Amino acid sequence: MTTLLRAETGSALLSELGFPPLAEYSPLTASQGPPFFAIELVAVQPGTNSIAPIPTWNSVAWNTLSLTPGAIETTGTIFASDLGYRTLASDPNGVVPYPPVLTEAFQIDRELPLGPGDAGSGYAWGTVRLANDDGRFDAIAAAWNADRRAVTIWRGTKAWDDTRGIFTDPGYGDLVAMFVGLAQPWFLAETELQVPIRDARYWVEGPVQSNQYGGTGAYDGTASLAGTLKPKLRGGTALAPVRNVTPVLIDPVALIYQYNDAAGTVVNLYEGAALTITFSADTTNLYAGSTPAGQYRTDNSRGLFQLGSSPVHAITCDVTGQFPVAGVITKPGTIARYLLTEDLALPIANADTASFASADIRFPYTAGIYFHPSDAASGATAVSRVLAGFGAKLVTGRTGKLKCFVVRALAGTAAAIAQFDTTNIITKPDGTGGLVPVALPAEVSPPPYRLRCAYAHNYTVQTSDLNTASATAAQLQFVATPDSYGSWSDGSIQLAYARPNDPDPFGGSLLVQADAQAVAEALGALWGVRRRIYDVTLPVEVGMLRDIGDVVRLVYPMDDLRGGKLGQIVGESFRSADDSIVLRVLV
Amino acid sequence: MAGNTLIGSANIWKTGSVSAGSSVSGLGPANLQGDSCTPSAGWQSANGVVTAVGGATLQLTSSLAGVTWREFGVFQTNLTESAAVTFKLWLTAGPTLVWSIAAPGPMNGYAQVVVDAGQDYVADYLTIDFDDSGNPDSHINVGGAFAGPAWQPLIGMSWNTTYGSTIRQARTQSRGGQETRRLLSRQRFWSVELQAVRDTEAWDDLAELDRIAALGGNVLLIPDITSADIYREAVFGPLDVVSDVSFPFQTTDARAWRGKITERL
Repeated sequence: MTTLLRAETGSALLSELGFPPLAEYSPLTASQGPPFFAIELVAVQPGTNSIAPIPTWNSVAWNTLSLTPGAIETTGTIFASDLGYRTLASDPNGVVPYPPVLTEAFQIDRELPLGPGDAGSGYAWGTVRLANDDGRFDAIAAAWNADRRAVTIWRGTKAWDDTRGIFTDPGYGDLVAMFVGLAQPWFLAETELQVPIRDARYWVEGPVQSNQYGGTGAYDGTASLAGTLKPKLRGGTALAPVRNVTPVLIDPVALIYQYNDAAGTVVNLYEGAALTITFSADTTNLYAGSTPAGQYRTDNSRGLFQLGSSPVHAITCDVTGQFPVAGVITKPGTIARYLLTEDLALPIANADTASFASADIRFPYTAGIYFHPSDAASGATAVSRVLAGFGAKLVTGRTGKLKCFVVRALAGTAAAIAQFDTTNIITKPDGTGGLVPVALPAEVSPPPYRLRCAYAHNYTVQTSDLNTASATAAQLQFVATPDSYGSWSDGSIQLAYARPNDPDPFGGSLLVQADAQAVAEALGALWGVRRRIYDVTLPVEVGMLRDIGDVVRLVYPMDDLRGGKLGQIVGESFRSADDSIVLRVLV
Repeated sequence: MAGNTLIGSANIWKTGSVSAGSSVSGLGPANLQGDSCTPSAGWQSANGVVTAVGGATLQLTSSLAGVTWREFGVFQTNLTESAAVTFKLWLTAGPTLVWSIAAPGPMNGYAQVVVDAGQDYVADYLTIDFDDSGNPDSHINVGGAFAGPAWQPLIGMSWNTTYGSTIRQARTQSRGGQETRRLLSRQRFWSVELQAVRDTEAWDDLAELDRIAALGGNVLLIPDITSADIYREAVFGPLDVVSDVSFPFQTTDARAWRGKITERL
């Protein structure tokens, strides 16, 4: 067994204390030297283009493009470290020096919002500061940029060479990634280059919809639509479509409406909530032929439909929508995945696609979501809406990939990937650390006595301009409220607590009542019992091997932890200057 | 120790031209012209090059012909104790060998090879040959280097001179109170006190030492050139003036001064 104090292994003192030697953590062994951080920051020098026509006489024809090729962009990587590091000659890229110009410690805080309706995640990042005392970054900072370029911070441990009395560098393969993310715009100060760092969510903070109408007519919309975002619809099935969306009228003369910026289908078309306009045919050119009065034609390949006559009430529809490339996707995990990688162009290297696929296998629900042009949702918000529908979270893993993490109560048979106990839970020299209880979020503490998961979201709440004569009573009732709910409740909690929690309904991306019911019950099983959160301080060598979502076993001399309890890691706090890491565990 | 102290500040590495028989990308010999002494920003021979014949050589040519050389050193190296480091001074004409010495490898834990030539020599360039065929890294790495003239105070360091080291450790304590300490760095220093700097040294030597050190460069201190432990006593690093030049002996030709030289890691 490797011990904290090798010389004291099995000592009488330790035995008397009933305190076993620390395992897994052996800082005093001859093979370990100081830990260090190495950073790789990708920077790009933009290229130039020379597409300006040459306006000269008797040289080349008018409007001929320049024959001078534009300079292509240049991509480079800034290597730096805090203690100095060199890769080995045997490493894939040979010897690469990481000079010790990393001057300031950074910190990473990741916390999973545990409320049933929260799908995002709380993060805090630091700033990497690189010494620029000799002006080495002056030219780079001026002509290059690193915004949204990859940043990787590695952690390694130098080895002690006892025969020479020096520390030696480990191989590149021995480094462990502590942070993989993106850089924000950098700042050059007098003596340092400051590079704020972010996780991969930074990439998806822009608007989810980038397609807009040009206003040139026909499918590009009228002039008044120029600059207006196109509607975006993803998911839904013929049996469970996305409900009652308001399409965009892109051609008032030809009465053409758009509900998606890709292919889709119209399942039901309502005029004042009534199915008075009937389907005529599907075509790939709504400007060819005509639509009979009182009917509608569709162009499913473009997400369009056309009315045969002017409507007298508001037009809404139940629809399905495809992704431009991925096509028909109806399960929530995969919808979120393609929103990231296709609609938001997240580099595939930053997406843990397996986690989304795995979520679909475990929770094969039917989902769909619609973004009207007036809904200026960010990419992160859009993905979170989908995931919140079934109690999932968008998480950045330690490898920098965005992944889908579904919060559920652990089954008793769940296997722990690691055990945290008195052999590896440590205190800092200032007395802090150890295992510390943390308050649960107010939404789930005290426990909620009921949870409501919304489904079949009504995207157009209608209380007027209705065709009450023709609309069914059920449809009139549906359009008057935004959501329907699957619910879970526990009367025993009402009896046990003077005023138990009653969280707001959550979700809305699911389309089937049974799915929403299953989600509500699953989250009821999670939050309807006693839950606790502990901050557990561990040696970096132990903690950095774990990630949010990992199932661990806590064994500690208090409460019911004495016998061991399964928990899930839901947060992390790390200061690079510390030799420890704090993991937040939900038990 | 009177008269046996050697302090060099005018480092010819910083102003001369340098070349190496072998180096890897990013770790060329020009790195030795900076003040950093870290192996990751120094000079490194190619993989497998651990002998002078193979290319483990450095050459430093002074920007001016016929300059004075006295003390030499390579620091934060990866050399083994069994290595041989040969310093040679040359005149370009010929070329003519002026002086040479084959020094052994560093003492365990000190990673430096420091040589006093014993007297001033006038030469044009310096070559350093490294032979360390048993080096476990299969390359030679040098973090920093010094070569140049030195000031040998007429009256050496006083008995108030002290030395020590600054230890940085990461400490962790378990619930039971057991403490672990992990060495992060050990940085040696000398707090040098000179109590009898003569008028003839005040400006040409002491003031020059202060002026050059103020630029942020490194100073090479050999506390006692007669010592058998030069490898462990010598310190190469920045100089901080601890106390101003004073006249404690009034009209006597003896000025006092105190400075601290801290090892550059």
